[in-house]
Parts: sequence; C-alpha cells; structure tokens
Amino acid sequence: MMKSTVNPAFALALALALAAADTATAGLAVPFQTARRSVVKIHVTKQEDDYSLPWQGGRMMNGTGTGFIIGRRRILTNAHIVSNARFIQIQKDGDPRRYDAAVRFAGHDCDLATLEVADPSFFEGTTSLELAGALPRLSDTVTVLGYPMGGDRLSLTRGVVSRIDYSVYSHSGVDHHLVLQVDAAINPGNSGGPVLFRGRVVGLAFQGLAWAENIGYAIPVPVIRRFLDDIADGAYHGYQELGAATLELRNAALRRALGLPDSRSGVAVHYLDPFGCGAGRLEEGDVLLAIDGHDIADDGTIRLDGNGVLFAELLERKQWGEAIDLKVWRKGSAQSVSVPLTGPADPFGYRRIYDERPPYAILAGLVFAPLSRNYLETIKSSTSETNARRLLYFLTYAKIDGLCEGRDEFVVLTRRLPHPVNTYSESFLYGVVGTVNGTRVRNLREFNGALASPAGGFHVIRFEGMEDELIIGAEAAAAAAPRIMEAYAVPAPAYLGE
Amino acid sequence: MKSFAFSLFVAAAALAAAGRALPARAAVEDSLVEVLVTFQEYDPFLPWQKRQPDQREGYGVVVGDGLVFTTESLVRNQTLVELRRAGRGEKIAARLVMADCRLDCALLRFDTAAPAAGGLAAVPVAETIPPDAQVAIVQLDETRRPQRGDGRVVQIAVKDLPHAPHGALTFSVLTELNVGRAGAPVFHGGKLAGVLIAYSRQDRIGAMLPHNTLARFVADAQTEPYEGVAWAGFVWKELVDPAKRAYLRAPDDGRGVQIMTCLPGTGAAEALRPGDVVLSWDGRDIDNLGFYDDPDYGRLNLAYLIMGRRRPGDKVPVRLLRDGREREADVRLARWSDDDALIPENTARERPEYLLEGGLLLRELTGRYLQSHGPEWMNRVDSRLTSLYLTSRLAPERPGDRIVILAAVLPDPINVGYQHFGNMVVTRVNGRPVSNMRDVFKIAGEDGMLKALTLRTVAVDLVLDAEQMEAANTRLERQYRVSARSYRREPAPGDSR
Repeated sequence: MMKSTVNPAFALALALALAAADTATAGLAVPFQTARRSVVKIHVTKQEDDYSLPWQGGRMMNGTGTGFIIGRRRILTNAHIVSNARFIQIQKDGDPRRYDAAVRFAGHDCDLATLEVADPSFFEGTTSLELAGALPRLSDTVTVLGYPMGGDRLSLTRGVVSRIDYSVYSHSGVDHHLVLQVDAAINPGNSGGPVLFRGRVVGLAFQGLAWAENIGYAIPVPVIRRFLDDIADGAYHGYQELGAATLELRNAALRRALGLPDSRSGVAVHYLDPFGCGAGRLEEGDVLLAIDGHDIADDGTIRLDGNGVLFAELLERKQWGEAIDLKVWRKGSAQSVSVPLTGPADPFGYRRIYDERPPYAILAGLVFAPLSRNYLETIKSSTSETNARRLLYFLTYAKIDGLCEGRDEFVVLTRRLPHPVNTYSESFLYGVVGTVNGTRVRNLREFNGALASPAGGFHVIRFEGMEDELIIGAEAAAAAAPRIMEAYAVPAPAYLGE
Repeated sequence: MKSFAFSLFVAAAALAAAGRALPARAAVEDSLVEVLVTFQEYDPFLPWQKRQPDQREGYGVVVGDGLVFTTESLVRNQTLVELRRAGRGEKIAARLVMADCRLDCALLRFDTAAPAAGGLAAVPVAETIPPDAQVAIVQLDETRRPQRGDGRVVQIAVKDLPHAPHGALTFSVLTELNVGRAGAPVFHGGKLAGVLIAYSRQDRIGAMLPHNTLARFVADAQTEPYEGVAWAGFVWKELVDPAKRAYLRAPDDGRGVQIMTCLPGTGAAEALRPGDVVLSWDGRDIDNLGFYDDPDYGRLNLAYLIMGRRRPGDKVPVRLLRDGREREADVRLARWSDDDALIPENTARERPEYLLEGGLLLRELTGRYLQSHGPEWMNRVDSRLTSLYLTSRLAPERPGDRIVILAAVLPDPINVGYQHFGNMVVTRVNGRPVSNMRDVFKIAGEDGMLKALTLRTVAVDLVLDAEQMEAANTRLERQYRVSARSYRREPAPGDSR
C-alpha cells in the first residue's frame, strides 16, 4: 500500500526467539502441548535466479523455516522462506518423517504464503491454530513457537509487544505495512512461526533488524487476515494502490490558496501515479477530505478504533475489486468520488521478483534485459559507472518524470560477454535502450523484434541520455553468435518470457 | 634524530646529482618561499555562514618583482596568505592577484618593501625544456633549509588536475625526493621548469605544471582583462570501433574523433554538430583516440591543441566529416568558463548565490554542492539530481540556464507542512518560470517577496503567507542567526547571463 522506493531497514529474513519462559504469565488458552502440534519445520532447497547470468539457474541454497497449520489443511508461512524454492519438505515436531509440500499461494508484497501437503497422513495428530480477532496491545506478553538455529526441536520463547507501527517489508523491497514489534533476540531459521497471545495467532514472525538488539518483527493478524481473504477466491491479487502522493495541509496559507474553508481539513494530492487506482478518478490539486466516512485531518490521519492512523490504513484492509469512497475538495466544492480498487498491474513498481524466469535477449554477446530491482542489486553499489548510477534514477522516477511513457519496461544493456565483435561497446554498459534500428521499443520483445531489420548492414542502438550510438555490424554479429553462445554456455539467444 | 640525519644525506646526494639543473644556490634560496594559507569555505548548506577556518601550507616561487607563483588549490578560499623565506621565521603578508582553478595556477603579490622580503628575487622561467629533461626539485626540510632532489621528466601528457575535474598539460617527473607539499619548484638549466602540483610517494612520480603554462598565466594575470583558457565548447569521444567507423564512412587512415555534445552559446554550437567526426583541428590530423603530433611534445591530446596553442577569440580551421562528406569549418574559441554549464562544478568553491525567504532556501545546483554531501554523495543525494549531474551537466538548453533547487527549509511557523522538502528542483517562483537564480531575484524583487514555489512534478505549489512574511523573516534571521538572507554576485561586465 504505502510504498517506499528506498529500503531503510536492513531487515533480515530471521525469526523470533524470546528469552524467558515463564509459563505462569503466558495465559495460553490452548495448552502448549496442543499448540505445538500445529507448528512445523520447513526444509527448502532454493535457487535464486542470477540476474547477471539470466539463462542459468543460479546458486543453490538449503535452508529451514517455520510454518503452522491454520485449518483446511493449509500451512501458513513467509513467502521469503518458500520463494524460488525447487524442493520443499515439511516435518512435524518429534516426527522423523518428511512430507513433500508445494506452494499454493504466495503474496510477495506481504511476505505470506500458504503450502499444501499432498499426503493426507501428514495431518494425523496435528491441530490448527486460530487467528485472534484483534491486535494485541503494547506490553501484552506473547509466545513465539518455531525452529530457530541452535537445535532441531521446536523452541518456545516469550516477550512483550513493544510497538505496533508501519514498517518496510524487506522481502519485496518496496512495501510498507503494519508490523508488530516484539522485544526478542532474533535468530535465523524460525521465520514463519506463530506469535501467540492467549493461544491465538496475533502475528507471524518474519524479520529483524541487523544492527539492533531485542527488536523482532511479526506480521500482525490484520495483514494475515487480509491475505487469507484475498486468496479465498483462488487467486492472490495483492494490495491496491491509490497512487496519490499528498501534501499535508497544516499551512494556513496553503489552505487558503486551495480555497479550503476553515471547517474542512484534509491533504492535497500533488502527484497521481498513472498506475494507481486513483488515476482518472482523482485530480492533482484535489484535497482529500474524508475516506469511507472518516474525516482526514490536516496531517493525513484518521481516527480509527480510538487511534490516530494514516488514512491509507483503510486501503490496507481492502481487497481487489472493492471500492473506496472519498470526499474531495475540488474547484471550490466538496464532491464524492468512488474509487474502484481495480488498478492495473504496475510494471514500474519495482518489487523484487520471485519465481519468474528472468528474460533476456543477446545481440553480439551483449545481454539486454528489462530493468528490475533484482538486476540492480547485482551491480556493486560502489560502481562509479555513470550509466549504472542512472539506473537508480530510472527505477525511482520512471513514472514521476514520465520516463516510462511509451514503454512497458526499460530495456537495459546488462552485461557484455566479451568477444571481438563487441570490443568497443564498454561505454554503453548499463544504458537504457531508446531506439533500435530506428524503432522505439516498448519492451524486450519489441527490442528483439527490431533486431530483425538492421539498417544498411548495421544494428544501430541509441540509449537514453547518450549522444553516442552503439553500432554493431549485422553480419559480424550473426557470425559471432555461435562462438559466444558456446564459450559462455548460453543455451538460447533469448528468453522473452511466457 | 635518525630520520633527520637520513634526510641530510639524501639532500647532499641529490645536490650532487642535480647540480647542473639548478641555478646558483643563492638564486634558489632567494626565490623559494613557503606559502601559509588560512582558508574558510562558505557553508554549502547554510550559505550565509562559513565553515571552520583551517590552514594549508605549500610552496611558491618568486617569478617577478613582488610576484609569487603558487597553485590555485593551495590558496583556494583563502582568508589570509603569508609567505616565509627559506631558513627564516618572519612572515610576509601577501594578497591574491589571480587564481584559476582551470589550470591550478595562482599569482600572489607581496610588498617588496617589507623588511622580511629583502633579498627575495625572481628566478627566470625556462622557455623550453627537452622532453626527457633532467631536473632538480627543491623543497624545505623540517629545519626550513632547502632540500634538493634530482629527477627526470618521464612523460608529457594532458591529465586531470589533482584538485579539479579538468585536464591540463602535465609533465610527470620521476624523483626520489619525497615531496611533501604542493608548489615545490622544479629547475632545469638554472631556470624554472615548473612547479609540482602533486606527488605520489608510491610511484615516486610528481605531477608538474610546466613552464609554458606558468609563464602564460603569470603574464595573463597581470593584464586586464584576464584572458584565461580557450575552449571551443564541445565534448568528444574516441572513434576506434571499426563497425562504427564503417557506419559513419570514416576514412581508413585512422583519423577522427566524434563530437558528442556542443554547449549552447559556444563556437562549437555555431560550427559543429553532435555526430560530426573531427579529422583535423587547426591544421593537424587528429587520430581516432584524439591525439595529434605536437611540434614540441610529440603525441598529445586534442585538448592541448585548443587550450595550449590557442587563445580565446581565435578562430581555428577544422576539417570535418558530416553525413559521410568531408567539409571545412571555422570554430570560434572563447574563454573557458564554468558558468557555461547547466550545473557548474564550482571547483573554486566560490560563495553560491542564494535566497532565503520564509525559511525556504533557494540556490543553484553545483558540483561542489553535490559533493558536499560527502564522499558517498551519489548514494545520498536524490537520484534525479545525480542523474542530471551525470548526463546533463554540460547541456543547458539555453546559455545561462541552471538548475534552481529548494535546498532546504529552515523550520518556522510560516512554512509548516513544507519542512520535509529538500533538494527539490524549482520550476516556478510566484507562478513564473525560473531558469537560474537571476530569474529568482528578478521575480522576488518585482513582486516584493517569494509567495509561491512550484517544485518539479509537485502539482501543489508551496504557498507562503504574504502578511506573515516580514515577521517570519525577522524571526528566522534571529533564530537561525542568518546574517544575510540573500547573496547575489556582482554581474561581470559583458556577462551574458
């Protein structure tokens, strides 16, 4: 919902392990011996796609995490535990058997996933955990179950709720949602474990802060509920963005300039994301006065359940296909605007990508691929390459500065597989393609298509913000291709996606 | 004590070897001075105040009556310059005559009547030295006695200056002498061959600003108006790639570099176009890496053919390849100026123009301002500003265009709601478009104040309460101890901006 393009938190994919075990204050409604039968260990073999060698499978990693059974034979865990998984097995506490499992749904924007186990005997002797009806309060003592490092068996730890706030969900790299902060030491391995209050699930342990102590984060029950409601129709749609950047109206001169009467309050829309749900319904310069009947204060908050929260919290709770009712101040009068939450897919949102084979196209040993957060992360942040530095601008300002107009994605020269045919192309590396053989290309597919028609025996590629043109002899490129593919073990000259 | 004895030994050995290069011992001692500089830079973020003053030390050499040559980077942002003779304690006050960061050259003047200045005498500047000249470098040891080392010129090339992002003719001098400070004089045949502007202990190579650059600067600095360095106003790129040469129909003889950008308002913009291939410049063939055969120094970068062999105002004949056809053009040279850039570097760290109104701080974007965010500034500054700097720095749409930014907001009741804005591009002031601070001053002057600010891609203007403005400005000046709410440079005569 609320998105940040820069991820300030070094949140690790870790889980909670609370220190004390004072069962007297735990107040477990479900006895621990029952609850433990719902918490499972997940064994995963992953292969993270290598966006700098997109035709290869990438490095293999083995890891473990935690999950818990939530009824209807579903196992809930973090998306980051099972993303890019090649092989998943699940083990119950005290049971040596491992059961094959598969991902049923994954919500990468909220770092939640459900798993299925085909073997019905797996569920024998297990119980399901129930979700709590509401968030816990600060200082409530919560219990965390999971399989952290330092042993094989189930671990129980305990702590208090230290904070309930919005924070970045590091799995996607861009999303902010509500998080539950618990004062627990953080250890790798038990991400996905339940956080229990009075025997019901109030959260799911998911990340920590690398440099902090006793700060562990859990995905709180409203986010879990929203995920489960979202997948109820058999597909995950994800969060909907209003796409309105707003300016608070605490400045009286600004309120006057917008013609807003003293009796009104709200926030002014200063930018509309073309891929947000608000595009076409809202206008830049609108003042958002109320959302679903809740008046918006001049600092952008609404009163909800007795608390002041950002107005976007109401959007956080909505599903795809629902609508949000806004009251806006437009051209001197209040108007009602209903915004259906059916926004288009946003190719320029730049969430980290999972479980998708990375596309690419090769010309004369030059590898072209769509700009992605995954690719950008393969470039050293210390690079002084002008073009590499500019990719961050394309990623951040794609929509705001209109760079994305006429495109479905940015096609980038991602790397050079050295061969005499491409010796002089170094200065174009990391460049964003503008035109190929005179054609402006919307996406990698069009790029690849434009390579079919070289002009006068040359491929002429122009890059954004560069006066220089990349010139490749068409015949030389074709002649060099087999040798390049063989030398660098490239199985196909292009993969353009499904 | 040990190191002291060692340095004396080195000095003695060096003296013996470099005897031929040096003038008489007395002439060296009478022309060498230490340059002691107190400097203070205006705070890039609070431009009405200055940062901590600090000191730098280097060398200078007397090149005329009461005139000392030293490096610009040494006297940059100077508040006080003092000279001290070899073996003496007294300091002689000096003032800056001229400094040019484009060449790392500075000229100082001291009062020859000052008691401590007695006996200081100019050393003659060499008119020419051989490309592999044996030279002698002189600096002062810790007892302030001259310490001499011999060296040899091992390379002559156009290289980036150590303290400025500009190329200049540089002689590389290989020497065992561990040169500790900038400005150390280098002698050949009893005359001044140049001064060292940098020294790498690891490579034992000193970068020397040569005699010709030095002599020309010294003469220029004493005549009004200062002429400076010539340039044509274009950016070029090597043209080696055979595929590209074939595509452009460039000749097979390996000549030619490609024009990338022509700055508006320059001679290049009048006569050249991006994509043109420069085959020869000023009668000399240019190879595909941008080198030509210099009559004095052999293979040199095209840059020296423009800046070293010509003067601002000259017109030079150029042979071009455009659309596959050869043609002639005359390119007018002008004085190189940082001000031509959309984002000037401000290498000299001059005080920026700014306006602080209602707590909103407006200024122009410069390279120095960006770099003031720390060595990791590219990771810290908004990627839009970084991208502008990296790609459009030299490409204003019209001469005089700059990037005006809302650098920061000093919190005050008049600007509540806007205080999180910083380093945003300003497109309009009071509803009127602005291309530089001159526009901002003009509009603020005509309207009496800054009432509304439009930021790029922010559809809602930041509006300030006109009635509160005077009180707010008074309050801001008091609260933040703002000594001046604006600074405007005196426009230079004939300034096109």
